[in-house]
Amino acid sequence: MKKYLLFNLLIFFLNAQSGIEIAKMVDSRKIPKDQSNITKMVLTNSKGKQRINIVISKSMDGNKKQIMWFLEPKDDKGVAFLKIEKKGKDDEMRMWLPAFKKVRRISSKKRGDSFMGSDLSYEDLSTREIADHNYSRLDDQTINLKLCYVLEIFPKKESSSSYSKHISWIEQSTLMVLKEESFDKRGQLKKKKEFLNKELNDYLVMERIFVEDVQKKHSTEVTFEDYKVDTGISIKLFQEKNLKRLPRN
Amino acid sequence: MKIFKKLTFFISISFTIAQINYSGEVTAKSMNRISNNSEINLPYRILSFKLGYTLGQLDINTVTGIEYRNNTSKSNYVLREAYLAYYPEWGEIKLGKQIHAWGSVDGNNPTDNINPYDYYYLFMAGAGRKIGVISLSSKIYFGNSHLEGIFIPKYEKNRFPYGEEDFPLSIPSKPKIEYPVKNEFEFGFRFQTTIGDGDLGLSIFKGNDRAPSVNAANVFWEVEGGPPSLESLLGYRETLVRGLDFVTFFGDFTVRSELALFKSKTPILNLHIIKSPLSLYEFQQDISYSQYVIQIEYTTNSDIILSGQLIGNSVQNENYEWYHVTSSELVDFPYPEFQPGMGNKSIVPKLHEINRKVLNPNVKQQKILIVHLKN
Repeated sequence: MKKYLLFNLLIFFLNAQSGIEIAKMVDSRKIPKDQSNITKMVLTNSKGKQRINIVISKSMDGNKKQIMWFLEPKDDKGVAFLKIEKKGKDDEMRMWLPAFKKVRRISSKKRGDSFMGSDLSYEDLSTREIADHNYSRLDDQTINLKLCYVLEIFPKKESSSSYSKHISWIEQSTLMVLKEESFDKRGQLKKKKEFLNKELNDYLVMERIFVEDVQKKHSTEVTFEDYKVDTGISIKLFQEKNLKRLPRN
Repeated sequence: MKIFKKLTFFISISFTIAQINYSGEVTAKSMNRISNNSEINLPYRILSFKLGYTLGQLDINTVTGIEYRNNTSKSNYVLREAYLAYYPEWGEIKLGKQIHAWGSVDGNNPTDNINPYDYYYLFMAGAGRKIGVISLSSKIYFGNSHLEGIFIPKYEKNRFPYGEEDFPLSIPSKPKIEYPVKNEFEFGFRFQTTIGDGDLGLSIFKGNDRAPSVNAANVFWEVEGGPPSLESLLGYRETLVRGLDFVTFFGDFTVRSELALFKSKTPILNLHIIKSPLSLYEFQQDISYSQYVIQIEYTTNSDIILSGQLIGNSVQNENYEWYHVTSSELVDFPYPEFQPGMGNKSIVPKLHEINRKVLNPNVKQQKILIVHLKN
C-alpha cells in the first residue's frame, strides 16, 4: 500500500507543472503573426462619468511591435502611438502629436504611467518577458465553470515593473488568461482585470478586457472590434512616418 | 464635353476610393480683465477647420481658420496650411504651405526656426502659433535614422501685434521698415538618429531673421549743436543656425535638450547711393550667439506631469560699426541693444513650468510659473 501511495505521489509531482512551466506553455501558445482591430476604450471615473477612446490598432510579433491611431475623442483624433519592444533594451515608444506637428519620443522606463488616461499602463500593454519574472503556482481554481491554473508572478528588478506581484487565473484548456489581480510596490491591490476571449481563424484572441483601478476607483472597458489576424502586415508599417497618416482599418 | 465627363468620372471614382478626413472647432470667446471686467480687444481664431484627402500614397491637407475680433465684429479668413504630401516607401515629400517642427524641447525651442511666429497666438502651444510657409520638404528614412530637407522660396516674417494696446507684451507701433531681405530663398537640413535609448538630432538652417533689427538710420539735429537724433530704419539680418538636440532618459526622468549656434549678419544694403540723403548712416552688425534649453520631465504617480526648463543664451562674438552711406566714414553713434531675430521667442534665463493634466479629460489645467533668477 505504501509503495502504491509513493508511486502515485511521484507520478503526481512529475505531472504537475511548475509556475514557470505554465508560463512557458502560455508563452508558446499559437498566436497570429499579425493582428489589427478597432479598439474601443470606455473610461469611467469614480463619479460614473465616461469618456470613450477609439483607436485603430495594428501589431505583430505578439504585440512586440504595435502602432495605434486615435479616432476618438475628437480632440485627440490623429494622435498616434508606436511601440517597438527590444530584447534586453528599453522599449522604443513614440507619439505623433498633430497639434504640435511633432513625433515625440516618450519614456518607456516609467512603465506604470497611464496610457491615454486609461487604467491600462504602458506596462500593461507590453509583453511580459518570462525571464524577467519569477513564477509560483497556487492551488487551481474554477472561474465560470472553467478550471484554471493560478499563478503568482513576481517581476524581477530588471523588468522595471511598477507592480510587486500579479495573480493570474489561466484557463487550463485554452491557456488564455481569464482574470488577473495586480499589486503595487507596497503590496496593495492596485488593479483587477477580467478577460473575455474568442476563437478566430484557429486562434484565441481577446474580445474584451475590463480593468478596474481599485485605488483610484476608476475603470476601463476595452473591446476589440473588427478583429483581423494574419493579414500580412509589413514590418515597414512600424515606422515613424506611418504615424502621421490615418489608415483604413 | 467628353473631357468634362471623363473628369467628372475620374473625380467621382477618386472620391469613392479615397479617404476623406475632416475635423474642426468653433471657439467663441470673450477675454476680460479681472480688475474691471473690461474686454480685451484682440483677435482670436473663432473657427479652425482641417480637411484631408488620402488616395493611396498621396495626401492633400488643408487647415483653414477664421480670425474674429469681438469689438469690431470683423472676421478674416486665413489659409494656414495647404499642401500635397506623397509617401513613397523611403519617406515623404511635401509641397505647399506648411508648418514644420524641429527639435525636441517644448515651447522655447531655439532650433525650430523654419516657420515665423504669429505673436497674437504666442501663448498657444504647438503649431497654432506658427505661420505656414510655402515650402518643399522631404524626409528620407533609413534604419533608425532620417534626414530631412526643407526649401523655402519666399521668406516670411513674424506677425507682431503692432499698436495693439491690449496685447500683454509691450510692442510699439509698426516700425518703418525700409529694407526687404536680400535673399528670400531659405533652406535647412536635419538629421536624426537613435543612439542607445535616446535620439540625437543635428540641424542647419540658413535664412533671414524673423524679427527686424536696425539696418540704417537717418540722423538729424533737433537743436543745432545739440545731440543728434536717430530715426531707425529696420531690416532683417541673414542668419545661419547650427543646431543640436537630443532626448534621453534617466530613471523616471526624461531629459530633452537643445543647443543652437547662430551666426547673424546685417546684409549689405543695395542702397541707391546717389539718391540717398546725406543724413543716412548704415549699421553693420556681425554677431555670433548661442541659445540652449534643458527640459526635464517627470510624471508623478497621480499622472501629474512636472516639467522644468532651464533656458540660457550668450553672445560669443559681436562686431558692429556705423558709417556714412556715401563717404563710408565711420562714426561713433550709439549701438542699439542686440535683439536676436531668431531662436527663442523670449529670452528668460531660467523658467520653471508645471503642467498638471487632470485625469478628467474635460478639464485641462496648466500651471506655468516663470522665475527670472537674475532678478
